[in-house]
Amino acid sequence: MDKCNPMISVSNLSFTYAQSSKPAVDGISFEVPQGEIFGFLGPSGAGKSTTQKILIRLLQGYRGDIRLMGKPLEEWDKSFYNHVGVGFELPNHFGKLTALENLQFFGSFYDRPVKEPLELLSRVGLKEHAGKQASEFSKGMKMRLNFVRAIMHNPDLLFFDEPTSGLDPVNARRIKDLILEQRDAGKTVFLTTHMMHDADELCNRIAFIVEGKIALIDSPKALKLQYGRRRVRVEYLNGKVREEEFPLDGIGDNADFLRILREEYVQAIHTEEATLDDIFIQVTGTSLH
Amino acid sequence: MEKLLRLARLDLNMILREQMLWFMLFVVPALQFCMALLLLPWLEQRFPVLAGYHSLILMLVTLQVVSSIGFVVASMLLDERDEQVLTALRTMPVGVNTFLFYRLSIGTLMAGLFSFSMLSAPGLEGLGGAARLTAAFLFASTAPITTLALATLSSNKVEGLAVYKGLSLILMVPAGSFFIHSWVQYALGIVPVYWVLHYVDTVLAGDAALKEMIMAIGTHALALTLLFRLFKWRVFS
Repeated sequence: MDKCNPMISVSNLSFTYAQSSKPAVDGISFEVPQGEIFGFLGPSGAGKSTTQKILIRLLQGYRGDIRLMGKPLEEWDKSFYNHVGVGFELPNHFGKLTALENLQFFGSFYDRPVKEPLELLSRVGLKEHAGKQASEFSKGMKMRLNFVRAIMHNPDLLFFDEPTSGLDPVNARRIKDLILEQRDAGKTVFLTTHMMHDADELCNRIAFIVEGKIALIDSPKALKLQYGRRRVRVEYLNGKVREEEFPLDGIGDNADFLRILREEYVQAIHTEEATLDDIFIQVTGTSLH
Repeated sequence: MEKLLRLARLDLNMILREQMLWFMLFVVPALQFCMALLLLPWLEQRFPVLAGYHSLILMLVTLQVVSSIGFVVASMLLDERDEQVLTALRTMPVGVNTFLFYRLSIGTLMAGLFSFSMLSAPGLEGLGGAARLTAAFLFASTAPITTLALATLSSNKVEGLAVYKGLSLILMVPAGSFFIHSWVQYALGIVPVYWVLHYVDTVLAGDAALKEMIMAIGTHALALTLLFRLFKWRVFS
């Protein structure tokens, strides 16, 4: 894939479900270059999953132009899925097959080499459960199995819908590390989530989508700086816990700030950059949750 | 071929891990074979009137065998629908249509082998090799129809079992045409199985059965097409 060509290019995409008069996706445009993790954030019903379903060719009848991996979406045939990996929000496995058999089953459909299933299961802490039927798995285990199924054929473009949903912190960390590993290997990741912390940690850029429209696209860092307050908050102990705020500008010459650092028992210092949650509310006037 | 064998092996694993499925796939046909080969001749000795319906009874037993295979495949599809596996398969290079084709073909192939064996039972020697093969294929076509009907009309396996009982009765209805000696019997021709039963009966009578064969193929193809579209609409729309 040519680095200059975006892996995903969406222009004026609109989609209305047959039973609705209001568009679920309303004229959105964005591009995702190769090697980027692009976060698609929004509350339930905002149009995230609809957009993803269109991009992975599960929904037809959209308006607008979509190019994936340099080719118009409608020109792709079934070989599309040799290049694309999809991790669904809900587990979907053959319940009566073991984890290993599930991977063997799905792996046999690809026209390109697939990774060793046991090695993949080991990466997500499921190797010792390889012989267990998927129906006996917890939701978290099923989600990890979902994840490795999406990457087993080494796809160039990955779609994940809430990949850490139902995972404990250790396993969520495992999955996030694997997503970052995919990016480092030059893969492009389209991540649909409403978990701001995950987006903040993983994404190179994020888009906020509300009522089918993209309200904002930028990198999490730039957004946090742009929407944050250029202030420092200091917590210190002086008989009881006290808090004081100082402007970031000229902080090195701020006598009060320097005095606290010198003379008081400082407990914590925070910069007042905005969280993605704050920015989302500020920009869209609605909450993610 | 290697991939196909792997898929078939995993399918077999799924069947062997569920009691109802292996019972319907192996035990029910075995019991039907025993009935056809052992019980029926014994009954015919005790109740000679049955001998006049020997071929019809064998055909109905064959129908039961192929429909039980259809039920097994339908149960697997219902599970896969519940588990959202069919959605996952839509994002595979093979595509869900090919997967469904594979599933239905495996069931049809097994039904073909079972029905060929059943149609080789004593009393149907008059069929001959080619006609037996044709009849086996026509009977086997009932398996995918059963599969699609159950998978479309039921929401889960328990419902599937209830629908299966109803469908089994419907499949038996064309047998009534052998007791109706007027044009009314053709009304039963709406059930594709009617034409299969009459194909075998006509061949056994030593007559040409091209019309019955064409009608059997046509009605089965029509039913399959309609049910396949209905199934996809029900599952994916």
